[in-house]
Amino acid sequence: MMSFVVYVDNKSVVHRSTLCSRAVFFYLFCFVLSVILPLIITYRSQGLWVEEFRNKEQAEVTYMEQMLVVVHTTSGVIYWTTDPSFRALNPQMLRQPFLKWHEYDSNHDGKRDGLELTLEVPLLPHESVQQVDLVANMEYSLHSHCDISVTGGIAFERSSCAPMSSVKVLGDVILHQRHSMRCSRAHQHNTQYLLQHHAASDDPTLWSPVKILSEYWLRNQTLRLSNEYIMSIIGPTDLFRVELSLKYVEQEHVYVASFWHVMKHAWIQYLSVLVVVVYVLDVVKKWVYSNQIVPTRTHVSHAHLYKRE
Amino acid sequence: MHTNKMDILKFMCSVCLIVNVMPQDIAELPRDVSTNPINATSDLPKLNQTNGTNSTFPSAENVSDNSVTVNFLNESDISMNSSNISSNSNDSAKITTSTTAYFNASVTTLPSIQDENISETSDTTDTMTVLSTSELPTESPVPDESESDNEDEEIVMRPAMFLQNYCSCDMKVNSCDIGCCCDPDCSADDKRAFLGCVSVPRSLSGDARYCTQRWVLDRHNTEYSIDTSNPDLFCIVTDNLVQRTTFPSVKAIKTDEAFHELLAERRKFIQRDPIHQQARKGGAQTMPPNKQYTEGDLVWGITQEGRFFPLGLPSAVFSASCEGKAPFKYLQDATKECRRQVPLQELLKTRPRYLDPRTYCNFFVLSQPLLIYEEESNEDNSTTIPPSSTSTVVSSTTDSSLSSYTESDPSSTTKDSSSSTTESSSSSQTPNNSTTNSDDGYASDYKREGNDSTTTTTTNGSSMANQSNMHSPSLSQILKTPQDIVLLEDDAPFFNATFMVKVKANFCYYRESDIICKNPDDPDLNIGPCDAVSSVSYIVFHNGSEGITAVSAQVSLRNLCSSIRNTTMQEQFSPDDESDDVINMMQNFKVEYRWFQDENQQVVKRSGRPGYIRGKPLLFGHVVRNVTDAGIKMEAIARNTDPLEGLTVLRGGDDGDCSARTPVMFGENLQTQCQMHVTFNDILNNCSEVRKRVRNKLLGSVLNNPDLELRVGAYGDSDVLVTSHWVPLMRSRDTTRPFYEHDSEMSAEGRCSDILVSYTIEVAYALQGSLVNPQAKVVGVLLTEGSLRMSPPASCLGPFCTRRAVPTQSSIFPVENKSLFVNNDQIYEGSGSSLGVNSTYDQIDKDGRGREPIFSNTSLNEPTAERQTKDTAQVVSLEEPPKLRTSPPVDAQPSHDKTVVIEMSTKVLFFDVSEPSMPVFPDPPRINFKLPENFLYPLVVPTNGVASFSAQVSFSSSFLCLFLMLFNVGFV
Repeated sequence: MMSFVVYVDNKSVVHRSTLCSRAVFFYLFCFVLSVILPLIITYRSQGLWVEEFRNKEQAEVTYMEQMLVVVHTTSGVIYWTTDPSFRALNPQMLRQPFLKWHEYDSNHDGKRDGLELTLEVPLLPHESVQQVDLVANMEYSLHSHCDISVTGGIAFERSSCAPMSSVKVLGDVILHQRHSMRCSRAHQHNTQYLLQHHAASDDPTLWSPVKILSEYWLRNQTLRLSNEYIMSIIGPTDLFRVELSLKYVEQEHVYVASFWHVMKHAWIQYLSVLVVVVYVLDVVKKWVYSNQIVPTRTHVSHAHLYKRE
Repeated sequence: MHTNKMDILKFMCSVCLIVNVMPQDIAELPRDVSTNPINATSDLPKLNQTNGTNSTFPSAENVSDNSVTVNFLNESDISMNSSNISSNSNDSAKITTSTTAYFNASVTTLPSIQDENISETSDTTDTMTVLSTSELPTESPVPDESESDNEDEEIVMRPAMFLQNYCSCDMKVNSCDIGCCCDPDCSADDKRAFLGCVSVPRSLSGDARYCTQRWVLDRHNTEYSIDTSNPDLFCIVTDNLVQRTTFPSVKAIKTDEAFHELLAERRKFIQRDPIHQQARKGGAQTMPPNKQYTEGDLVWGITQEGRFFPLGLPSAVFSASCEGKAPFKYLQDATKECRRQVPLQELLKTRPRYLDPRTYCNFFVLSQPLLIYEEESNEDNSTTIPPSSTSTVVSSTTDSSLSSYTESDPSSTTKDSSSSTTESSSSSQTPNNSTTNSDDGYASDYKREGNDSTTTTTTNGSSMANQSNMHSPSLSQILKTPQDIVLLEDDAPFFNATFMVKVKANFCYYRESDIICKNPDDPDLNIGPCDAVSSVSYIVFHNGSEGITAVSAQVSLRNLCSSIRNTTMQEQFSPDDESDDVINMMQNFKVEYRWFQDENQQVVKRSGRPGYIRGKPLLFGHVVRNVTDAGIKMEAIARNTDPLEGLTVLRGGDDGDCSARTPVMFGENLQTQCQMHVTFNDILNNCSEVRKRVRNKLLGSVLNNPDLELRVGAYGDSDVLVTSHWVPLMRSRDTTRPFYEHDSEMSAEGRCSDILVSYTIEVAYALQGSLVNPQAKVVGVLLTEGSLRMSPPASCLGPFCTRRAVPTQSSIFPVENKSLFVNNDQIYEGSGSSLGVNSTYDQIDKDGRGREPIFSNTSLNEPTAERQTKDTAQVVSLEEPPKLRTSPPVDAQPSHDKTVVIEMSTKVLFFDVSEPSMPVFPDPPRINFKLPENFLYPLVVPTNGVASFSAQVSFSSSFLCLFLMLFNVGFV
């Protein structure tokens, strides 16, 4: 007669032992091991506690309509700034430029994608430009992970022995991080402008680009130009022109991981090892108890019988 | 085999070796000729010879009892191997195990083999036992080098040749190289002097992946051991694919096709013969292509000599100077600007061609390239020209052109002329051309000395005629060579050819501050050598595909001599004067295309359709109302189509003076600042007049007119007849301060306060329409008068009183300006600051001013102090600011003639106020469906027997999802 498997029913073998016995000890040992071992393994593989969180995002960058231009010519320095108090400080060297700019959002996603700025400085006939320094304020705000706003600026310098008639700057505005950013409100101290705290001062020496940048450099988060090409067109001119073409690009930002982020990541790591460890220990336990390596009292029961107990 | 004496490992190693050596490395057999005398006989003489040379080198360290010496193989030795192999193959295993002996390794001798070897070698001590390390493939016996000379028929690079171990340190022929132990020229005695042996790179056996590194054998051949130097678990025991570690052989190339084929991939990016390529790309076209003009095609010109050349506009390439020629493209407007550096010497001796106005208009424009070829075919049918007609043939090779891109070598292209007559005539023409087109490649036969270009062509033509009469070539004959074209003087049909469009020029120049515009043929035209071209504006009238119908050129001239130092000018500058002065001037070139029917009508330009385009002028106008006879009120917008007459803001001219206005372009934020000079006297006595003047200057006449209802176009194509397409320009006044008209005429201190110096125009726009193609619509415009209103001081106080080196008039030339502003005393006005007072600063101190404090790391005080010492007037310096504020005017003289500088600023800001597109999802779709009437027949009985039962169910999308999940399969 052929026979078919029509149904499978499991029997359970119940192992019992007293409290102070090797079997109980082994049971406890396995339990502790299954808890501890994944912890050790994940910790040793540097995977348990993450300290930083990386996120790629295109920031909302805004030109703050504040800038300082210093043009070194053969017959002296001329400058211009958007700050009226500093304009009043050195009127002899002030030169009125023509400024034209626009920011564009090419893909209409609500975030500006770049800045085009043209600055035209009229020159006197005997002046020829040897160097130009430009500092402009920018605001850089991030929203996807948490709301962080960094106010900084971009700065560049170009000098040439031959007289320059125009300087063209191409570049990306990026955030330079010395440390990872914290999301908590207490740490949002980066709202310092590149030019801001000079504005109220009567001291014009604070307006030296060297000073401005030295102070700026000390900050932990700064904006700067990256992937930049600064080109100058040589030749005498009566209208010195600075053309700025900046792109606001997507960039990876590093944050300090928040508590729950750390916990979540640790749990994921822990769990994945735990599953394996528990399985292995289960196999070991089965072998140990079924072979009576540690003595136990056993009795066989059907699953439903066992359940009834 | 005495395997019982060996441990397993060694045995395996030896076996490895055997296996390794067997197939290909058989060349390592000891070339013991005496063991196989029969086979070796044929090679014997040679062998002896070679061994003779080899025998000279047994190194000092390898003289052992067994005297197994190893041959450092020469190429010549290889040839004899093949004959030995067959006979030696049985022994080869044993022998090669011994050849791998490595005297540094733990010595595991193979006694029997050794014995055999010794017995073999000892028998032949007179000849030498030769061991080769070369990995010579047995199947390809390598011919001797002398033999390879005979193989001219098939030159094959032999791979095996490069797999041998050369004695690569043997660099000197017939001389012992120091340190080169394998050099056959080095005797054993010589080698004693060596410090050591130079390591010689090995070809195959050097591969680290082999289990046995047999190259060591060459160096240490005195001891026997099995090489176990490669401890790697996986090493190559048998190499059955030597090609894997060797370069394949490459046959010698005999045909150039094969060469090209082989190199096709490799020289993809290498420009071979760049000149040739350029010519192929059309960089040096000399004839227009046989097609009609389409947009972007080069527009061709024809010189007075009748040569075709592509038109171009001088333009800057690397610097601001005119260095290149931008192509003059059909139907593409262009504006170019570049700088010319004119040496004064050159200007006065000979006017450079690029400053000559005729350079830019003394040519014809080819109206349609097709026409030349039609003309050509017509002429072929016609009879030859009567000999009386004066014709000349000009080769198109002379390199004179307004815009020839590349200058071809005349001699080379002259050869292209097919007929001898043309050749001779062109050669006779050459001197004539070369005088006019000497160096800079500009198309003009204008002769300076004559100053009468109108006669130039005729004189030129007559001289041509004299020459060409002798040859009198027929037109058809000439036209067979497209390189040449024909110019006929007098009754020449080609001169009036349909395809030639004369450039109608108009020269405009200054005479006593009046602009005079004259036709070049006008007898009253009075242009001196000093009049240089400052701008050229071409207007090309075209008829689309039918080509160019007319070209007009407006050439603006500027008098350079006025800028030269007065002395030099007046005293008739002598050419001997070694002046290094260079005049810099900008040249502007503009090309504009118009339809020929638009010649007499103004084309109104839109700023977008419908929405604004960034960079296009903002439409601006004011409302005009009219009541028609029928009593209907009509409203329209009066708009000036010239952007400069529209919404403009004040901007600084070249010198920072408020001398120019710039139109407001959509989407372009502007920030302008400039200065206006107001006499001190006016400030004191005529304050309200000053206010009005400044205000008028700042706002402009249109904006300042309070009666006009100003409107800004909402769309780039706003219709002037539809007032609803226009948004009002709103004004907001700073209400905290009284408007100047209501202000008292003069305050008690004699100050003229409340002068409007700044305003802001804010334009709000929103994007409309689809996200893919959004249209910008202006939704509101607000003009805010600045809250900052300056109050010039009653007296000349403060830093603005210092004279500043800003000229009042714009000019490029230094000398002129200097004289201008030296005569003026300017007083600068500004908010109070304690920098210093310096009222009679009558000399421009370049150095003192030039190294001003902040940016050059000098302290602020130094230049001020310097100025104090220099100036005779009383100076209130930094140290005593309180006095400065309270002191009366320091300048005793009445300062009526002094000017106060008022700084004015304007801002135009554009704000995008677009609403984001609908952020929420639309309502979930509703699905209505009816069950069949009798679907639930037993349960629900249709009433009245009519199909009144209908289950109308509305599902939301989420409900639907649930529904589908529950019955995903069952329902189907």
